[in-house]
Parts: sequence; structure tokens; C-alpha cells
Amino acid sequence: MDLLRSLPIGLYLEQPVSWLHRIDSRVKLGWLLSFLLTPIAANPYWRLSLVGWLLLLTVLTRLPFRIWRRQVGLILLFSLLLFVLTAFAPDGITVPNQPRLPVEDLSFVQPTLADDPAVTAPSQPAPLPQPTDYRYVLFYQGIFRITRRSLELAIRVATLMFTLIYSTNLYLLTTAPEEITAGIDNLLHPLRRFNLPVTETVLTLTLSLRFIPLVLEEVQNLVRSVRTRAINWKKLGFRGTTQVWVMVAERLVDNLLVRAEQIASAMQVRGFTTPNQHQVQWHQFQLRLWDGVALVGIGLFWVARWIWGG
Amino acid sequence: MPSAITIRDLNFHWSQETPILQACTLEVPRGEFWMLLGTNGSGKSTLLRILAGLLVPQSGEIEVLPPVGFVFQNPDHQLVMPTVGADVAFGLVEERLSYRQVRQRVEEALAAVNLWHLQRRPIYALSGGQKQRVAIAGAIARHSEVLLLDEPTALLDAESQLDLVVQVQQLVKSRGMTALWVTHRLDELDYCDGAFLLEAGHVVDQGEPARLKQRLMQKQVA
Repeated sequence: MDLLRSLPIGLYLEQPVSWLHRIDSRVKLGWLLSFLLTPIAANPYWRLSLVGWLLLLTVLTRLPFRIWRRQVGLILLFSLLLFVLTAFAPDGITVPNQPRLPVEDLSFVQPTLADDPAVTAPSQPAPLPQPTDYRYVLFYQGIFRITRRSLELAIRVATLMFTLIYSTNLYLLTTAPEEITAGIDNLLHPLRRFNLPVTETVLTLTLSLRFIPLVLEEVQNLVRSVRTRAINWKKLGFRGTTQVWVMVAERLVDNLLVRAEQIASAMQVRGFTTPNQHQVQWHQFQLRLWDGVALVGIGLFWVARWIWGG
Repeated sequence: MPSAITIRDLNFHWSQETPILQACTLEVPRGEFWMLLGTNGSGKSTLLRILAGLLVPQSGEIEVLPPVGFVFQNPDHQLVMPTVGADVAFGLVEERLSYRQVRQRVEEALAAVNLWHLQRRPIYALSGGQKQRVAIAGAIARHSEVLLLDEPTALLDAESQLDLVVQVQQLVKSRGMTALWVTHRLDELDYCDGAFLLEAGHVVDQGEPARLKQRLMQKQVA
């Protein structure tokens, strides 16, 4: 299962147990949502501070550096790349600029100089002294131009990507999959009143979390089976290639369905009740002191967003 | 001695022309570890699936002490929750236990298979032998009287294969469980109390594992 092991993002880390592991999964979900929602309509300073907070949080968990080094590195690199690209890309603002007087008119006023080509050619007016140090264009060198708008866009896109991927990753790193689903089950409890199948939905989610590695494994097996056959793709041509891949895809669906059936019978033997009753009792939800502190933290976080994040 | 598994005149077929089990009769005494031997297609796995209630036979009588625990050949087909502890707890929903009782049962079951320290580990990060032990822990947590194992060592290397047999043997002795183990590896026979030899859908020999082993080895030589 090397495909799964080599994917460093979004895996649960069961040891060492940090204080972040111990916090109630519902409280952590609240924090995650706060990290995802507060950037909406916030200023760049708030967005940048979120990145800082997330990195600080990671350091404070005192998880070993080797665990998050690669994850943080990868996501930071991706965000930086996004930042640079967006900063240098045209900002998309076209300012229609029309001189108050037609250019020809100006040349007409001074007919004596009409022979001089330097004057007749429409030239840029010399930069005028500005009243403040505000400049729309922040950097202009050759073909590279960074404007206020492109810089803001770049910060927005890059920090949004970082907070989106990294906060989710941190949540998944410190929360067991069934802890998450049990938390969701607990939070969705009121919906039971409307006869919504909450437990069934959550159970499906839990099972699918277990299924992801199995699907990856199946895909990997098939890819290997194609590779070991040393197919001469050039000779096959477009049609042949398509046929091979359709065959492989069919096989994949087949195998997955067989697996699903096997798992279904295993569940039956292992004492599966009914979809809407099968609530596995493994996590007890009990808010402790630190959960309370973290909950108050969420409140303060939103207040701070309100005051400084504007 | 009372028996934990009793099968009388069991018949099963997918189609009339190819019967899989024909007048199959066997009895496993309570608290013993028996093995079921046979060539490919002799109906071993089918028999086990009928015992587990996954297949319904056309005729015959079956008596198995409930609850029944089942361990599949490939543990990936049977572990359904994302982490070890939750998976063992999966089978306990039926009994409507309190949180504390569930916790205690799971810890006890995992301790019995020496995996207590891996409670929080995700399933995909386990080795094949560990996965099989988690599957067995699932059955122990339900306080299963009978444990059915369908070639549990087929996908394991030689070392973890013998580890698993020894562990099941010890579990049967210490917890008074009854186990029926399907295999085609003769070296596993040294650990069981008795064995059945299945051929073409019915039991052709049963009893002392040493004698059956001799018989099969002679057959292989001949």
C-alpha cells in the first residue's frame, strides 16, 4: 500500500498523543470551521495572521518536527507558488484613460512645432508630483508588474489555499476518523426530529473513510498489472489504448463491487443491526476543562475577527 | 461431551448438476480446537459460510452455539471501521451496552490477542497478522462461543502463520471457546485437538490430527 503511505496529507497520527488529540472532536470541528469561515470578506492582515496562527498551533502541539515538516513544507511551497503567480499575473483591472483634450488638438495649438516629430507623436506626460506616497503600481520592472490589486489577490488566494488545506490536515492528523463521524452524529442529533437518517448517513461516511485505502490499493494493483505486462503503447495506437483503459476501468469497478459485497457479508456475520441503529459506541463525548477553554477561544477568535479582521 | 457445532446430513448446491456438500455430517466438541482439511473445491469454505448463516442450505440440520465469530481469509474484507478499537466495538452494538462496558470489552479482547497498545491505530497501518488478530478480537469482544476461521493464514508469511495458530490454540484453552479452522497447510495440524477431512462434499475421515496428517502425507507421496 505504498501509494497511501507516500501521501503525506490527511492521515491520522495515533502516536504521540498531543493535547490537540485530547480535545473533543466537536470543539475541534468548530475551530476548523472558524478557520475556514473567518477569511470571508476579511482584510489581508487577518488572512496572513491565520497562516501564522496555524503554524504557531502546530508548534504548540509539540508533535515531532519530522511529522509535519513535509506536510507544512509541501503546502507552503504550493501556496508560495500560487502567491508569486497571482502577484505577477495581470490584475485584470483596465483603467480606460481618455485625455480631456484630443491629442491632435494640442498639436494644432502649437503649429510652429508641428514639424518636430518628437512633439507630434503622442507622448506620455512626465510624472507629476503626487500629494501622498500612495502608488497603485508597486513594482514595475520590464514585463513584471505588481499592483496593489494583484498583491491583494495573491495574498488572498495563497492564504486561502494554505488555511484550507493545512487546517483540515491538522484536524485529520489529530482526530481519528470515527471520532470525527461520531462528533458529526452528535452534532446532527436534532435533525432526527425531522426523521432524517442521521446514524445511517454517518455510518456510511465512516465506512467510506475505511474504504479509501481499499480503493487506492485496488487502483494500485491494476496499475501494476498493466505495467508488468509491458504493453507497447505506440504500437497499440489511440484506439487500442482506449480499449485497454476501458477494460481496466471495468475491472476496477468489478473488483470494487466484489469487495463491497464481501464487506457487506462480513458486516452481517459480525452482528450488524440495521443502518439507522448501528451506532458504534467507541467515543464518549464529555466536555472537559480544556474543551471549555477551546470553546471560549472560538468566541474570542470571532470577536477578534470582527474587530481587526474587517 | 456436549458439542458446540453439530451438522447432520447437510446438502448444498448452486445448481442441481454440481452439488457442493452431500450428506455432510460432523460434530465439534465444546471447548476444543478442530481443523477442517480438504482440497480446493471440496466445500470447506461453503460449509463455514453455512455455519455463519451467510448461505442457506437446501436440506440438513445445523446447531451452533451462538454467538458465532467468523474470521475471513482476507482480513481487509472484514475490518470495517477506520481504527482498531472502533472496529472491535462494531459487533457490540447489538447488545446495547453502556459506553464503559464497550470500552472494557474491547480492551479485554485486544489484550487477549496482545494488541492492547494498538487501540488507536488506523487499520491500513497494520500488518496482515495484526489484522487477523483484530478480526479475532472482534469475535472475542462479542463473547463468541464458537470461532470459525476460513484459511486465516493463507495470506500470512510462515512466521506469523504459526504465531496465529498458537494464539488461537491458547485462546481456545484459556477462554473455553470452540474453534473450527479451515486450512490446507499440514503443519498447522500439530496444534489442534482433532481434524476433519472433507472430500467431494462429505467428511471421509475424522479424529486424531497426527493420523490424518500421516494419511495426507502418504497420499501426497503416492
